[in-house]
Amino acid sequence: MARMIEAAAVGEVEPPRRQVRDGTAAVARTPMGRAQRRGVRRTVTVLAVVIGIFYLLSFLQILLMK
Amino acid sequence: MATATTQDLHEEHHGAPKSFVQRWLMSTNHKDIGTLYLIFSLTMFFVGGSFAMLIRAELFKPGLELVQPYTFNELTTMHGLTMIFGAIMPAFVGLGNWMIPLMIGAPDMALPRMNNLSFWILPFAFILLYSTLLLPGGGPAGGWTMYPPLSLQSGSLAYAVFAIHLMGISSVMGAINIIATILNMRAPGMDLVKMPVFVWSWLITAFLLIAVIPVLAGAVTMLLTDKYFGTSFFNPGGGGDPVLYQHVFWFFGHPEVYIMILPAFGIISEIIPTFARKPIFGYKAMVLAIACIAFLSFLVWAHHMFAVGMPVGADIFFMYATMLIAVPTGIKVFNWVATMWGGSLTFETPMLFAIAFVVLFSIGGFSGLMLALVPADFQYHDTYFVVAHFHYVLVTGAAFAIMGAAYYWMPKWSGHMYSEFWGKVHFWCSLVFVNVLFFPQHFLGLAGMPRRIPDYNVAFAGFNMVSSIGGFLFGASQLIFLGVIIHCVFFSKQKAANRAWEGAKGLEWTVPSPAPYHTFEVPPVVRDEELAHSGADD
Repeated sequence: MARMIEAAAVGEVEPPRRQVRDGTAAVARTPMGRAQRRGVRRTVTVLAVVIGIFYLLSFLQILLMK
Repeated sequence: MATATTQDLHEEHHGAPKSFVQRWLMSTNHKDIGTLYLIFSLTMFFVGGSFAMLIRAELFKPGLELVQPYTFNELTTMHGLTMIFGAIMPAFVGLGNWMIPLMIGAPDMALPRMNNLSFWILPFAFILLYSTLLLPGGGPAGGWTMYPPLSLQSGSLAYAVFAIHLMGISSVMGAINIIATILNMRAPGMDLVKMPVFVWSWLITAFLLIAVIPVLAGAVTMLLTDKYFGTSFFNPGGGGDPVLYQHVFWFFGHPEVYIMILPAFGIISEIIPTFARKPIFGYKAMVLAIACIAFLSFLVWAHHMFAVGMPVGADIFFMYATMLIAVPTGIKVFNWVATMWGGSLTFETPMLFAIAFVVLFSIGGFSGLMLALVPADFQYHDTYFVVAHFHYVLVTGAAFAIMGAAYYWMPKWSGHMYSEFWGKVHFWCSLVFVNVLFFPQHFLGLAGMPRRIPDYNVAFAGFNMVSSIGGFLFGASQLIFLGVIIHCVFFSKQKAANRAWEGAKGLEWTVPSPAPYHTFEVPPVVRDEELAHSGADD
């Protein structure tokens, strides 16, 4: 394990990861999986901002029209 | 056929947690969460159905027979909220959870933990909602639309509003998950224009959800502040206007109607090509029609409120915008018929439900066109004609599509074939009795019987009795559905093949039946000829 962590530090191998139960775990370690995770993070960030603005506008009208 | 290099050697439940709590309460697996959604939806279907039975029992003959008027209003309110937020929407989310990753070659949903959370919010939201029935003063009784000032009279408004916020948060999280999954988790080669129509329909529906749920949240919060914080949004005494609520609510409410029907369009677009053994006719036109309907749904909200007295220009705009929706809807109906035309048709239970959907949903669509006409709507508004219209859309439309989907994909979920005989018995009973239930309501509405009344003029007695008998028998028919599901899952001896239907195409049919606990851990190879619309000329 120590050798693996050392190797990971110099970029030779992937660091050991905590085992997660969901089905995405197996592909998460592949290059395609990593690209997918980046895409998911980007999509969720954009959607969260949009939904946040929608909710904010919905509640802002309550404050403005009160 | 070997298009998917999934790990077929896996045992059925390989990798599934052994403990019940871990498997079902803490699940992050899209199939398990899909199953939870579907079980929840079926339960709510029977709960909401039992409210409907009570409503029809009260209306069986004139006079106050079983319940007091306030209880009757509680029943109609709870029936609407349960069927919309508890039965139909969770059923589509369940189907999406189960099938979208399988259809696009993804190992799971993009956000599995959020998937778990968005499901488990729902039971608590409904427990909260139903608990209001036990409160002093009773539950909400202003209808599912919760129009003020009627809804403000309920002492349990705060509970109902909080429950609706929870349901909304659950829906928004589900929508984020579905969009993130479809946009990022597709297998290599599964381009957007190669996705099954069901996946497209869900992608568009998810955007609709994100756009309108915050509007609902704002509307019900304004109700809350009017009741408890001294605001006057909807109180004319303080300078407000109750019609404002109707505008805000229906800006959410009409897209919500399409949220409940667009995934049904997707389901029908999967079933018909399978049993016609032909690719879907006009794949791109079908997808564009769904997108077009979704866009138009934001421009037609005021057709629900012609009778409040809007400027004539607004009436005309909303009338024509509403009628415009018939164009993309007509394209879809035409394409479903064209898909069947010249096909090698067989009539298994899913196909029967799909054909019934096309015919009966069209009846609901046509009565919707009648309601879109401003002068006619002044006559039909708030009558049983409207009740008949939206039940043709939501029962013979959305619910029939969900039942068809259950029969279509049950072999993939359970690994067994259901009883075709009892499936057909369920279909024919449902088909006959749903029409006995709702068709006479058109005549009641045209004769002037108002909605949401526990008592009525004796002149309406005949059709009401027929409608109630249809309702009881339709409700009883659904017990056959429950029996077919239980038999298929626990007792059926007939194993399902990987490709359960001869004409079925798509990645979901390349994995074993039942689908293993983990699928597509190795991304599948997508071949055009194996896709559902391969060979389509556009």
